[in-house]
Amino acid sequence: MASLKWENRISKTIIHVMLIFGSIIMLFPFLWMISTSLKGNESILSDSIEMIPRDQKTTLIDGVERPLYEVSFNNEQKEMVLLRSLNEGMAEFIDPANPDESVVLPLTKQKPVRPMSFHWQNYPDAWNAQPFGRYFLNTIFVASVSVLCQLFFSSLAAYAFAFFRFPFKNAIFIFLLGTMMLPQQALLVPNYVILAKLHWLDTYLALIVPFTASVYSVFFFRQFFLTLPRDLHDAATVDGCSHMGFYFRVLVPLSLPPFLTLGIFSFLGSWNAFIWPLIVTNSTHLRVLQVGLAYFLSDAGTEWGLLMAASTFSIVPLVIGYFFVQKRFVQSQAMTGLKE
Amino acid sequence: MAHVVFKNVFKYFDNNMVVNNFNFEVKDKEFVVIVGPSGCGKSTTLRMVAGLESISDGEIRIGDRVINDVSPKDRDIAMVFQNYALYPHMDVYKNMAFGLKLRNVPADEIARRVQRAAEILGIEELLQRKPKQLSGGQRQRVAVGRAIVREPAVFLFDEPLSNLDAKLRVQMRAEIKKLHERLRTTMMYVTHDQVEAMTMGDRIVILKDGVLQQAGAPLDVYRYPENIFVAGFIGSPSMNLLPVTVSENMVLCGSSRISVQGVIERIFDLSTTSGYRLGIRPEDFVISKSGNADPDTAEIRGIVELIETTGSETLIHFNSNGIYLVAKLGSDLEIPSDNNISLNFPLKKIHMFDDSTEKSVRRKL
Repeated sequence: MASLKWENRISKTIIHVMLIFGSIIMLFPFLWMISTSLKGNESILSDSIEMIPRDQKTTLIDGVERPLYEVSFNNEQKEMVLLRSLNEGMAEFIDPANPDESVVLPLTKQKPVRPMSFHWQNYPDAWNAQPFGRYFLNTIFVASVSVLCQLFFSSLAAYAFAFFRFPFKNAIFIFLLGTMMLPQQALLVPNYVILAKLHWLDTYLALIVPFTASVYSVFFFRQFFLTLPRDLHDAATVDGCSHMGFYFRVLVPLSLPPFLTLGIFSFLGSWNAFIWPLIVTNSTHLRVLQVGLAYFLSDAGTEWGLLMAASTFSIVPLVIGYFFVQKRFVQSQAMTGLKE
Repeated sequence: MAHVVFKNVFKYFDNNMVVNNFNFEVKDKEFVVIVGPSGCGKSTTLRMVAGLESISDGEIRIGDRVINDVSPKDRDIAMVFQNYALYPHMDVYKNMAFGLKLRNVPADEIARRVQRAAEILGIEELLQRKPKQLSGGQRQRVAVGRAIVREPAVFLFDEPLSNLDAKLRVQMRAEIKKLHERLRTTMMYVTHDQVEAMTMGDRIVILKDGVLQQAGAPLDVYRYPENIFVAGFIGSPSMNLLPVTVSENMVLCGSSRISVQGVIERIFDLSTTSGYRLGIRPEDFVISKSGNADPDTAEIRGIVELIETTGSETLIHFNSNGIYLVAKLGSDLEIPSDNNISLNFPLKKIHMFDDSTEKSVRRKL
């Protein structure tokens, strides 16, 4: 018994260590993004890796900003200003309190003075650099409408595939699955051409309509619906339910887990969509967040601090949303009204 | 009047004929059990009445109305399913009220009907529970309750007791029978269990491969099976069926000779001497007593190969010159140590079937 308990503990410990390790790997990019969003440009581009934002402390000597170093000199520590670098790794330092005296010391052995410094200003700067308020509203609108439509239409299609008998049902389903093999990139141009012919370019329709159905969602829903007994459909039919009556009164309430799962997946997909919105919209008033973020990437260089600040506030609604649905997400509707 | 009439009903799935020219009338207030092995078309027949399967050809009438093209909800039927099919997200009350709500029955009327059904079934305490909080028997009661509240003209039961354990099945069997007596509504009940069919039905209908084999009162079917299939299907253990040739005063079965004293010719209208099957129910055997010379009984000898004891009865599997038979005898039984056994059976209780048509041979008496 005792050994079993120990085995249990050891396996649990191993699992937890692996999970913690995995979560660190997953979390690190986010932490790095937040850290970078609070750094100044000099600190971002420096070759030192710092998680906590710091800035080089400087002081004004003869009208020039010069970096301060923690210098070990005559067995004492002193903050001195780097005046200039000399040959063979040596540098000249002066005491700011006594600028006439200078010492020459090896540069690599001295420590730059870098106190913590958070550039909160990156956030308002990023927000104001582009109409992000508008971008947020656009993204929320596009993501919500396309997710709702996608859940509705995909589940209806899956309902037909799972519960109805019609000619060529399996062939049609396999054909649909086959379309999943096509890479999205291959569809970009034909889809663009279709939208152009419909005169939908640079409209909300271009952002929403192509995502109102998804083969993956149809497949996912169908597989779930197939686990529900057909007798439920029969019972509801005898009880007097129409097809849509069964869908709304029985099928949807019993299928909350797939609705939530797919809802989250497609909402994330829509929120993070970049290429498609980029190519089908030009107007600023239609721009979505991800396209807005790309504004900080320019030929003249990338404004990392602002980009990361904007990236951070662009994921905040998702993170908050996830905390709300997470509980429902893991709850699964027990199917115990039926004989197991 | 809620009689159900099947007239030349056919059902095809793709090109497979599942129900083949089914003609039958379920009388008003009658309890009819449709029984048969799996795949015989019994559930399909019931589902055609419910409207869950289309009717490929022929017509079905409920009362005086042809219901071929009537939608299920307008057929005035209620159905109980094998796996209960309760809606898992609704409590018992809502499950029972669902069908009425869809028909816009006023709330107080729904409450009254649900309460009454719950009283009949003894599930008043369970009304606020979800199906997952109920046992199998309770779920089945709720499923029956859901049918009762509808007050339909015809109840349809599709193997409703198959998922219950043996004890509960016996109990629910009696309850459904009592329910029929109380409600006096037409009921159609599908099962593969011939004991259920025998004990519950006013009449039973036996199907095989979509073809009606025989319909009648349970005891009539048991006593006078019309063909070899029914003879083998009804009764447990199955009837012993021996290929025989009839000669004067003797029945020859392989190398066995059974003296029949001309009784067979007196009972059955035999046209030839060979090509018959002789049927003897296991329960018609009795142990031979010495000095038995009753002209109306025959004797058969064999070697016991297996004994199965259930407590109340003993099943003897014995071999009579290469032919295997089963006898159902009482519990206080002594088998001789050499395993040789001699059994008697009354000639009046034997059955004769024509081997080529598989139909029973016409009785003279």
